[in-house]
Amino acid sequence: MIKVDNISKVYGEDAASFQALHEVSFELTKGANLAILGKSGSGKSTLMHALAGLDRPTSGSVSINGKDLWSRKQKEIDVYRNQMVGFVFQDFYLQNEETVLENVMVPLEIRGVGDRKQKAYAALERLEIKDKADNLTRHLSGGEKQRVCLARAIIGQPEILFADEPTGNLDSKTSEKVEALLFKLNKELGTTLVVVTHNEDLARRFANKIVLKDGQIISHEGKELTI
Amino acid sequence: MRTRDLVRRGMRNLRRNKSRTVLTVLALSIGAFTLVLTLGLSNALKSSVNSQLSLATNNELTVTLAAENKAQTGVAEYNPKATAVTSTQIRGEGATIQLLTKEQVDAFAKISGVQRVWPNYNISAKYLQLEGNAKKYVVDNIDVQSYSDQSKNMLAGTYPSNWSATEIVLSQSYTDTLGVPASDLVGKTVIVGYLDAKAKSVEQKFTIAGVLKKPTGFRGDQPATAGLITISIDAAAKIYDTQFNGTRDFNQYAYTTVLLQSPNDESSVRDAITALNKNYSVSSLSDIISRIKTVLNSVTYALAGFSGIALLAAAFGIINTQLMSVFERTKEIGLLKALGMPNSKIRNLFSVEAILIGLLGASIGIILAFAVEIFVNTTFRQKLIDIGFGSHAILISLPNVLIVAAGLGLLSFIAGVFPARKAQKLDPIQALREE
Ligand SMILES: Nc1ncnc2c1ncn2[C@@H]1O[C@H](COP(=O)(O)OP(=O)(O)O)[C@@H](O)[C@H]1O
Ligand SMILES: [Mg+2]
Repeated sequence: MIKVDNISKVYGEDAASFQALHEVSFELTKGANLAILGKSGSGKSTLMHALAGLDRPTSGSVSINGKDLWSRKQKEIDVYRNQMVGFVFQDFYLQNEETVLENVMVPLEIRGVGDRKQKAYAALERLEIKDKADNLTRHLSGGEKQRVCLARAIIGQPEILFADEPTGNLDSKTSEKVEALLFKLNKELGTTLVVVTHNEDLARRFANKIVLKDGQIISHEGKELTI
Repeated sequence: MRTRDLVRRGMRNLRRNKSRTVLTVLALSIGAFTLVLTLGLSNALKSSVNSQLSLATNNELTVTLAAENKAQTGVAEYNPKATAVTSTQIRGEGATIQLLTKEQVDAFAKISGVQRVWPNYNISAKYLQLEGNAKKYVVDNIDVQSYSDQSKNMLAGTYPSNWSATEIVLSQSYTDTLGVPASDLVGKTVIVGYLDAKAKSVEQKFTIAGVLKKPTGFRGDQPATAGLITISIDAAAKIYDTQFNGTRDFNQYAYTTVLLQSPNDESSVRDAITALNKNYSVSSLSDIISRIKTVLNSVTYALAGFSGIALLAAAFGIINTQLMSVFERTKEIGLLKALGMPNSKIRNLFSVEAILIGLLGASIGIILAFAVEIFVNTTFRQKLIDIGFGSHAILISLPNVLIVAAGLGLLSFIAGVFPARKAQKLDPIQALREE
């Protein structure tokens, strides 16, 4: 369960400061799927970063399974990032000079797991890209890269999977495939799925939705979501 | 992240930036190379000094008596009653000594731990003649028996361990001059001619016990060792009596030698001697060796200091390289942090890389130094032995290698601290948003 309580985010200081989030609150049931919608600059990424333990909100709190996130020590937040959540970035953030396999194994490498190849192959298999395991990521197509990102995000078996505009850089056909995979993971593994998008077609498939405008929730729907 | 994964990542990154890595490593290896070579050279020098001086016994002390008014400047007033004062250059200090009397010398013999005492007899001989041979040859110098092991230095015969007053040992020059093989000389009788106190010629017979090899090393080329004979202390004392009894200088000696029962007695005997008179100055071979070593060490430190400066310059190379690396890998660092890598590990990642550069530089420098060591030592081996230096011009020791490797590792680690901190401070989101 994700509980967001009155979080605000102010970037910068004094005259140059900008408030990207205004007292946002909501609750999402464990295992649910949620789409965060809104125009560019509405604060979607900022909200997601606050949930994923990537960027500290200026005020308010986020709690995961009843445990406050941002009051934890940095080391515990690191563990949260590494073990509780998986993250898919819009721009992939793959290490292009390395193989698919090496990229996928990074979360386990950070965790200090010795035997990680088997799990990496399993993740690649689930995303139907195992045959590319030994290719350098820079030789892959956009859709393939995003699937490698997904494999990297799920290799540590996270409880929550975050994706920031996962199909933003993909054509509609490959978008389709990646979307299907996201929902498959949500269903099969019971992973809570939180996706930022401004793609209407993709948004339609989600059971729960939030629409942001200027850092505030202007509308929402879904049974597993309470505001 | 496990250490081996940190090292693996570090190595991968160094490989990726080959030319930059090579240049930084090269700068370090030059410093390491000169440092190791300097240490190796100094080792060889010290070992050469050791082996040459250890030929002589370590059991002997030399005692002189310093003049009372040492601090006096200018010229002293003439005093007809004063004992003769000789100006002697001792260790280049221009010190003035007083002569020792027989009573003073005899007092040393009573000190516990002293085996034997004999003064510098300052005797001389005119000629040496092989019995049955018409020709006489000049005697350049008379040595008094040594208590150290000379068996290595013998050309023929033996160096007596228990000298009798009629035994004599000749230097190799005599066999060469006489044209008689050394082994044939052993057991033969020689006549040594010298002047007595009234300048009248006296002859004395000796039996040849052995022949000494031509010395190598420091004493090798001294002309005074050409016509050198060695006799027992007792024989020297007797000749001294003949040559000086009745002269003004009789029973006054520039210095005396004190033979210890064991080297362990050195400090107690020294104390006992200076307790007799604080003006006694006691020196031993270990003094001389330690003085030479002090000089060698100073030179070594100075040379090592220059290598240190080269290494310091190289350390700035590491800082530069690592800062560039942090800058180039902003995205990678951001990603690793976003995926939960703790700050401390991010820092370690860059520290490990810096240490790898350091160890790589050290290894190359050390290998080069070993190569030079092998080359120099094999090429000049015979020459070094001929001049009596020893068989090695460079002697790199394991501690040298370990110290340089550890020192360079540490230096690189320190140089890497600043870039590593910079990496640690990166904000993951900022790093990822950056284009
Ligand atoms: N580091 C930052 N400093 C200042 N302003 C920022 C920073 N990051 C984001 N913003 C601003 O905050 C607002 C919300 O950004 P973001 O959450 O990325 O929007 P979205 O993901 O919805 O496009 C934008 O106007 C953006 O310019
Ligand atoms: Mg965004």
